[in-house]
Amino acid sequence: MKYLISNSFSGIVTLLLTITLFPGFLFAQSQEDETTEKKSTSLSLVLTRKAGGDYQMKASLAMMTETGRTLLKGVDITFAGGDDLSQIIGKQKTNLKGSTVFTFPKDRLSLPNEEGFRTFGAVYAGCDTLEPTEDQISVKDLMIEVTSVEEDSVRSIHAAAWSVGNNGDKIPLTETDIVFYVPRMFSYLKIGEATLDSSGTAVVEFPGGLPGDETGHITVIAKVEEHDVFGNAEGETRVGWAVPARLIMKDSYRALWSQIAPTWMIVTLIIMLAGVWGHYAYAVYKLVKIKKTARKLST
Amino acid sequence: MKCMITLKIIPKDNNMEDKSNSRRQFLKLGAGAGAFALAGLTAGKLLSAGQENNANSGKKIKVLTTDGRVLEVDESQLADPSLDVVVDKDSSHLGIENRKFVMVIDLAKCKNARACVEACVEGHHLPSDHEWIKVYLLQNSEREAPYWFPRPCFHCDNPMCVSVCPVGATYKRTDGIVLVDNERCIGCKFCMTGCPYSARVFHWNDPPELHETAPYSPETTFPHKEGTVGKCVFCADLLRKNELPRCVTACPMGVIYFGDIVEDTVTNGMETVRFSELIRDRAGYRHLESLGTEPSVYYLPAVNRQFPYERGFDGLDPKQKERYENTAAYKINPLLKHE
Amino acid sequence: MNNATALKTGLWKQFVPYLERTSKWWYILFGIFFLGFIFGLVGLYTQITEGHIVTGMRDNVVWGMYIVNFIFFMGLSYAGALISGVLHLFRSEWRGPIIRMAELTTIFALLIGPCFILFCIGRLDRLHYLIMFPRIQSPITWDVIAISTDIIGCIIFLYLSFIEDFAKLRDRTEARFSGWRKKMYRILALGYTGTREQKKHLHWARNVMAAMIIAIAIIVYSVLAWIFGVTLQPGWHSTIFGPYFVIAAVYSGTGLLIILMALYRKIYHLEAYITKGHFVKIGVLLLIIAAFYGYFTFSDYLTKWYGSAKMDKVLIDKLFTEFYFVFIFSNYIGILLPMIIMAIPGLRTIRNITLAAIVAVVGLWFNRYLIVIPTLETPYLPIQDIRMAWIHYSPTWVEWALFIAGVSVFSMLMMLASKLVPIISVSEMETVEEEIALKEKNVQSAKA
Repeated sequence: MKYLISNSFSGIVTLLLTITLFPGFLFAQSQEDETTEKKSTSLSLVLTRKAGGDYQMKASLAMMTETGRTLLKGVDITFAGGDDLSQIIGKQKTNLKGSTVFTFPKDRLSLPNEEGFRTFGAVYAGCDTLEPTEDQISVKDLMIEVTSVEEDSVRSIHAAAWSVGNNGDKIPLTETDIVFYVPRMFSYLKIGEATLDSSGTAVVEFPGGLPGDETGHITVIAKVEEHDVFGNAEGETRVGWAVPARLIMKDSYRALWSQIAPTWMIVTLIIMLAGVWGHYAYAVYKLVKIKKTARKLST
Repeated sequence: MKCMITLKIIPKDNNMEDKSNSRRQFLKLGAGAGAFALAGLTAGKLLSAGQENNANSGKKIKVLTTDGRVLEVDESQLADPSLDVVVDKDSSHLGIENRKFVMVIDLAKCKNARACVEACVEGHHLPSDHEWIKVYLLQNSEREAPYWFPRPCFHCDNPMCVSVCPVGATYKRTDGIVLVDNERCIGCKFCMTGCPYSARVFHWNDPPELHETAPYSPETTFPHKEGTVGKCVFCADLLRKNELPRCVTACPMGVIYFGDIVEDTVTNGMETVRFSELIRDRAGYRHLESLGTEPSVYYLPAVNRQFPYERGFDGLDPKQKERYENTAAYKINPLLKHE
Repeated sequence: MNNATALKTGLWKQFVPYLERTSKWWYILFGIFFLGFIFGLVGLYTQITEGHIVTGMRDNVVWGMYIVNFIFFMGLSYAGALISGVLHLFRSEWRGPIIRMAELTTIFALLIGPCFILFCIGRLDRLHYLIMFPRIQSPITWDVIAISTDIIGCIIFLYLSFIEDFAKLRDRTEARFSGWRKKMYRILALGYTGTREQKKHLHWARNVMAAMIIAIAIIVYSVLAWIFGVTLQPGWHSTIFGPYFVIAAVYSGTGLLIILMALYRKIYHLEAYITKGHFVKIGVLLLIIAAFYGYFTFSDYLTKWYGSAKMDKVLIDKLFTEFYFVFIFSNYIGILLPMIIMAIPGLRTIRNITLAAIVAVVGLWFNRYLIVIPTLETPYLPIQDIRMAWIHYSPTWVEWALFIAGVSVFSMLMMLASKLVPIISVSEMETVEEEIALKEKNVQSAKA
């Protein structure tokens, strides 16, 4: 009973508080909100040149508030190229986490300027409460070629990185770190790291025991990251050196959590039920007999 | 361009229209929580800004930002997040092909920041007192060091909860995830007594009705249903989009790693490592292995920890702190104030 | 035979007035129980409209007093079944006056028991899913099958034992029964006139059903125990639970039978039929069962305490601190007191035996409470990070209301039954007399 009283008491208190305090609270809040000045926004961009030559841009849009950044969902971001971002490539909405990943197809890239830089940008047009914002990145194309070499049972991944000069010659990228990854469900898994040598190549050993697809194939990506001139650039290849990975369900025949019960259980149940209900039927049969003999007597 | 976020005065007399919304706002404010929110715009609905093609329905909905401001927006401009991720019931019974999910929790990094709990409650629209992930303060024996212990559902490979269910409302998929079909559940609570990890919670009363329009899916277990059981779903809805569970992305410390055991990779959103190497190098283990439930959640022991465990009480809501006051680790510690 | 006939007519004379007329006190008592029933309905209505939040159950203690009552009432019922079955099969000479009470206890407790599990279920509107989507692996499915089988078995058994009495009631033209009653007796008697052939059929049917009832009672109560036993929870995960529950059930059932014997003896002035001898005989049965029950209780806690696996230790520590008095009452006094009373012949008065039975039944209810609640309050992961108010279980008025309603309905049914048929099976008394006579005849012929 004590419990009951205390429970209902707290319930009443909560209810009263909700009814009496809440309007006051809201009112107080709304006084502050009378200002109609626009909130500033900011875009953050991550640009990567993918293996095929497409560029991929991840854009995150946030609204600046007193307490920090608040990500905005479902907002249209326009993606554009060209020095003045005049060449609009496409438009995409931000996801639940306030970001969106957009691909600039390689055949629709803006032309590089005389120094070889291409410009990519994202624009948020703003609205009556949010300031418009835009940001852009300029990078040079970096080609990365990834090859696999198996020598004396040593399996290695080779990467060569170069850019194309004004006259069409290959200029190797040197003295730069390059990271090797395999793509996984949620992210890239790092399998090695090396520095590009004077010829613009780097080698890492392919690790053993790495699960791939069902046939043992796996994609390997070599990536130059956050380079001053080239930004992020990737190259990839596919090798058959991984361990074939297939989900094997260890389904114990004694497992009780499966959909269908173990056979012995079904058999036992049927035997027991048949036994018991058989006897019930016998008893009822006897009752019928009693009734029949009674009818015989009366006639 | 017309924007849908409008800041305006909310008339005093008309603010009890949407009872469930306002109650929720009140609860949120009362708890002083919500500092962490992915969008900052809550009240159950998510705010999408900048849409042009929205016809004004005229009905205004109040939403609350994380910084405590009340915004009023047109109802038609609120995006319903549960709508775009719903998988129908039949598909939700099948696991994601050739995947077997695994979670690794690094106890050395956890300092009870409770971001995982808040993101989970927020993301799954859980009613108050429902927490699918809980943070325990454990101490194995008197002379051993206490440690913070986040506990989601373990998605066991030999799940007692599934074995004991009389109607098949809870089931295990090929990708290892154990789900509850709240439209099948009869509420006998046998699974709750069957689970040795207290991972399941029960809707003792009618959960607040938000998103009435959202179709139900066991992957979201939403809308919640009175008299049925709820539990951590490993964010099965996000996994379909190759996105990490909410607790993983929310954790500021990168405590929780999540991945696929078939490709032997786990990630905490910051670093990606091989599962087998992580378990080998950090002596990973499963909690209460002796029970034979074969959990899919592994723990890395709290060695070389980054914070003393007392830090876990920093900035904790007094109400929240009270919850740990019956633990031995709290009682014996002279550093913690005992009012 | 003369003796038997005298007894028979005496008994009829004794009962017919009770069957024909109803006293004021009967109505008052019935009214009190009816109020208890209404109280339960109010509780149930509150629970249905406001949800299970009105109970004391929360996420840790998910099964509370409802499950305690469920096991308790089921225990009473199986015990009744076992006693009536065993007494019938072994042709105990003293079964005559008590077998009907045992049978009625069985059927009424069996109808009330499962109601408590329904109160505990969150979605009553989906109850039919148990039949539509059954999973054979779940002990709850075993329970559904076992309990429904048991209910039907018990009804058949009870009916078989009633046929002869129905026939007699039908034939008693001098009794002033109303029209519908006469009709009812006629239909239910199945035209039984007690011919040799009919007697043989009935005899066989009753023997078969008595054997079945014993077997099912053991199976059903074991299945009930396995609901707890198969889980991994400390305090439940025990191989002894099946037989332990069965013996505990018989203990409570025997206790209840003694209480009912004392009540009916007093109310219907049956001193001539239910004698001290009956009390002593069934009291000795209670002593033997108490010894077994105590032995099981002791082995269960001894092994847990001696091994002291971490959670077992925590649980036992809790039982001897928080639940100290309840534990002492149910597992010491509740077992030892009835044993002491029955062990010392000087103490074996009807009053003492009834007192022993009351202590046994109440103690057993608390024993059930100690099995269900402390275990749920001792999960592997300590109860933390939860509202303080949610840690400990205490039943709310709703749960008490439904418990009171359960007891009230049981009492009401017992009262109603004693209005419809004699509470002592007249035909059974007759059969017993015949058996004794037959035995004597055999002995005499053997001597000759």
